[in-house]
Amino acid sequence: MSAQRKPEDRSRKLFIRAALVSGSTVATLIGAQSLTWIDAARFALTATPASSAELSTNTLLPEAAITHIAPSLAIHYSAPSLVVLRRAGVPSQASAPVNANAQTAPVSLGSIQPPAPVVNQTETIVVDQPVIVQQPVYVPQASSAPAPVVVNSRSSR
Amino acid sequence: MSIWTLTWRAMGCTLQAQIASEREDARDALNALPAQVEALEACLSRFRPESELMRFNRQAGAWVDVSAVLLACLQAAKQASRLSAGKFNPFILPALLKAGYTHNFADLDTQSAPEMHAVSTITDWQVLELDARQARARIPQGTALDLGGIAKAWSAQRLLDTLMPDVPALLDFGGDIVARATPARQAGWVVAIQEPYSDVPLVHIALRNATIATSGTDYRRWRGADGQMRHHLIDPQTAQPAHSDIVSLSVIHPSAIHAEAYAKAGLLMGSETALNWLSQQWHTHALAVLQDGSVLSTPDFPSFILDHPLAQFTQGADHEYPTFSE
Repeated sequence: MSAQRKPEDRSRKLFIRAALVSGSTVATLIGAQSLTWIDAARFALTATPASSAELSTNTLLPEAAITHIAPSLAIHYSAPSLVVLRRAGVPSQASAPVNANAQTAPVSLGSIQPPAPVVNQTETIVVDQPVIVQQPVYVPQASSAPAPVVVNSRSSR
Repeated sequence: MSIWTLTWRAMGCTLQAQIASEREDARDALNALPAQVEALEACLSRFRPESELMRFNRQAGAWVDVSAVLLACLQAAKQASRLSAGKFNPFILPALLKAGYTHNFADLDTQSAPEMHAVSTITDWQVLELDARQARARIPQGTALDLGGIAKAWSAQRLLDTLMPDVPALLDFGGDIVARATPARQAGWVVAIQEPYSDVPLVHIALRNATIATSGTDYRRWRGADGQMRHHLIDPQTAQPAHSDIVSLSVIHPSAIHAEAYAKAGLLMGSETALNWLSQQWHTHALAVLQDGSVLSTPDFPSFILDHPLAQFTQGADHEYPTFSE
């Protein structure tokens, strides 16, 4: 065999090498795609509803839909820093007094209207809020003395 | 368990002190309070011309040696201003006088008040200079201080700290209530927050190791020279009685200064801003009654309310606040 290779042999080798490379490349691509399909299938099986929602578009879903797909989320439609204990126009109901002897009266409906101003007399005691509700504990009355007097019953205003 | 109560009038309002103790010296401790309050009032009242505060005001423009009591109260006033971003401002005395609040409210003619000199602006609180090392203070010439907005809460906290420190006690200084511990087998000292303009309780709360301070426009009201109703809460930005949709704002906080500053600032802000701002402050809980009758609160306030569905207050360790020193 002469040292000089025939052109046909060179072409054949080149064709074989190209086929091998191409085949490997195609196999790699096919394998990668297969892995992707496998991962996608697993993700679809294990994904939570919220994840599904996040994968969807950014459109705002109605409340019912949110509740359905994310039951663990707490939806607050009022301001997060605000609690409404009584709405305007709702009649107030005095909370049950701790002291059974306490006397309460319902507040009138509607907006709060200030009373007509009156001249303060020296005997009138201006009451500021809040006030103390006395504990219903009996103790012996202290002997009277010039004001101030130590007392243990419900304080007067 | 005995709860001893002392009630008397001072500082232009009704004061009440309570001690839960079986000790024999409890009565003596209570009986000593009026004299202590009188000493504080003689120092801090703007209604007494010879009080240390008014003598200090007359020397505006110069460094003035002050007592430890006045210095401490001035420091508290400056702290309250800082906490409230200036909405609490002790330089409101000229505006108060202009609005007609010239005398102790019990002596004030609420039908009419003389018009005083015009006040358009209120001095920036930061110009109040304090020198703790040399115990002196200075305010700019032409200005004057009023400590009425902070003195009650500060005094109540100060006296409570020294009133039989190891027993449950409560001091109510005209609506600024400071509570330490709680009577035995009680969730806390029971405090009723009233409906504005009435004696009807709105809610009852249990208070322990905290202060509840209330600011409102439903009391301390009088008719000005122009026939318009005035109240005592001055807006530093306008130098006029504040216009707000809040009638009454109650704030709970471990610190009396904080509670007082936040209550005043919140009322001036209005309900929407105030409750949002207050809910972001540490250890702060607030309840507001609005002009339209609605009642709003910060998220955790309902847990203080007795007999409320959200109440978590049981006998024990709920709402344990950290120790707060001022």
